[in-house]
Amino acid sequence: MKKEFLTQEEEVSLEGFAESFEKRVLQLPQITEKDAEKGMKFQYKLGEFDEPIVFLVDNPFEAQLMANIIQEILEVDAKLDAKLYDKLYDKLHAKLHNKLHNKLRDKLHGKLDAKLHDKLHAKLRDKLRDKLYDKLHDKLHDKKLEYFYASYWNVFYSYWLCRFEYCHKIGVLDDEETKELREYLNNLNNFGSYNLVFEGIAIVVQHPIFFNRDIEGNLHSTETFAIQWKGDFGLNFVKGVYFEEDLFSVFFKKKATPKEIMEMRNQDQKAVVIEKYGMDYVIGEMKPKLIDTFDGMSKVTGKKIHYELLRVKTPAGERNLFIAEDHSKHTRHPILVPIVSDIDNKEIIRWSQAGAWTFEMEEQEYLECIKEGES
Amino acid sequence: MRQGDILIRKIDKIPESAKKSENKTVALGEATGHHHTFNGQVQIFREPKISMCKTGQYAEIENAVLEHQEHRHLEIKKQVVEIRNQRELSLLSEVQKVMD
Repeated sequence: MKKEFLTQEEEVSLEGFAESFEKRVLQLPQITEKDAEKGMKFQYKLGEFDEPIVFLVDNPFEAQLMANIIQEILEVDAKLDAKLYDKLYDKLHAKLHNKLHNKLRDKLHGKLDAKLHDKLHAKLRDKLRDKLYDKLHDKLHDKKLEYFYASYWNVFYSYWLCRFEYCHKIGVLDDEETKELREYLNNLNNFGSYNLVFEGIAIVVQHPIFFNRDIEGNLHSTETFAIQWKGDFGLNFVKGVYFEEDLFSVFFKKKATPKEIMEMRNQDQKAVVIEKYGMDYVIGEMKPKLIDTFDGMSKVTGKKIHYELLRVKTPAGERNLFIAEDHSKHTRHPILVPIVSDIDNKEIIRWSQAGAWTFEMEEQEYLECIKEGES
Repeated sequence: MRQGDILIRKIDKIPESAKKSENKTVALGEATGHHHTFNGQVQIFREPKISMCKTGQYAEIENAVLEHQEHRHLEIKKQVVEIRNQRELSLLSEVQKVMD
């Protein structure tokens, strides 16, 4: 008989479970070399590999340096395939995934009704699949930290583990079935903030010493690094948007000019900066004159949408400024648009004509496209 | 449908010049590394880019979701679509691609 619903008590415990799981992993313990060794030996054993030599480093930069050296040594001395790292990483994770995830998933499918399974998974995932993981992953890649891989803060990578732990907690999976899983979870902090794996060698990156988030869970600080490791290595994020050091300095440590803000190419960064300075400050000097506006509702998000079309003065002459609201992020994006469209040679006097121009299409066609929904 | 700087435009059929592609990522954020990627039953077709907005990317969708790290996922049912990028003018009136 498959379990089809949660008791009232279980429903209540589910609410707090993801939160306690997150807290447990985000406590930023500074691990010792012994801890790191224990964690990595466990992972390698689970993947059926020989025990590695384990190095614990203070920050991602040091990890990258060490990874480069190891790669060089392996290539020069052993003439091994340059893709050894990728191969080992794929193999290790495929095995971890097969061993832990697939085995438990199959067991769970036998014991839990499919709808209830999906509900549990979705609820825990939504609470745990935080914005930290994706953002850090991307940013460290941008900084050419090529060996960084997807286990940053295991809690975000491992939200799928959380549902098995919850099922163990409510008695759907028994002790024997979850033995390896529980050992894995007990070792989570020992894996460091993330780790790099090679054949016979593993590099574990220490947990950060500090991070700050806004109320939505985004990495956020307008004064210092939003996340920092030992060795003065940190990254700047404002409301979850990454800012390179020079940009952070211009827009948050000093007062930027409206021109500097309007010239920003990255829409996400621009929107955060506009929120800080205010739209009036940014476009005030352009003498904006409202010529059209629209209020509606997004079919996708169910949230209000608002568009404005303004006539403004730019260094190149009079132009249209189309202000679109991003209702996923509650941010406003000013997009400069010509006075006359190159699609139909008509003067742009409606928000929908401006929107159409930005996607190189006719107004009616654009309206058809967006009536389906926006996100 | 629109997802940030990407617009999904319904079309009748995939142009014959477009070839099947396994890569389901239809736009990669130059600045953030974020990407708009299809997941599900979908076949992507590609041909050389036509213009700044006309990416030369098409999708034959059975039942798919367009995902992005920052935006709400878009569920898309059976249809054939073209993927377009967004453009803007710079302060000096140069036409440039919207970057996120």
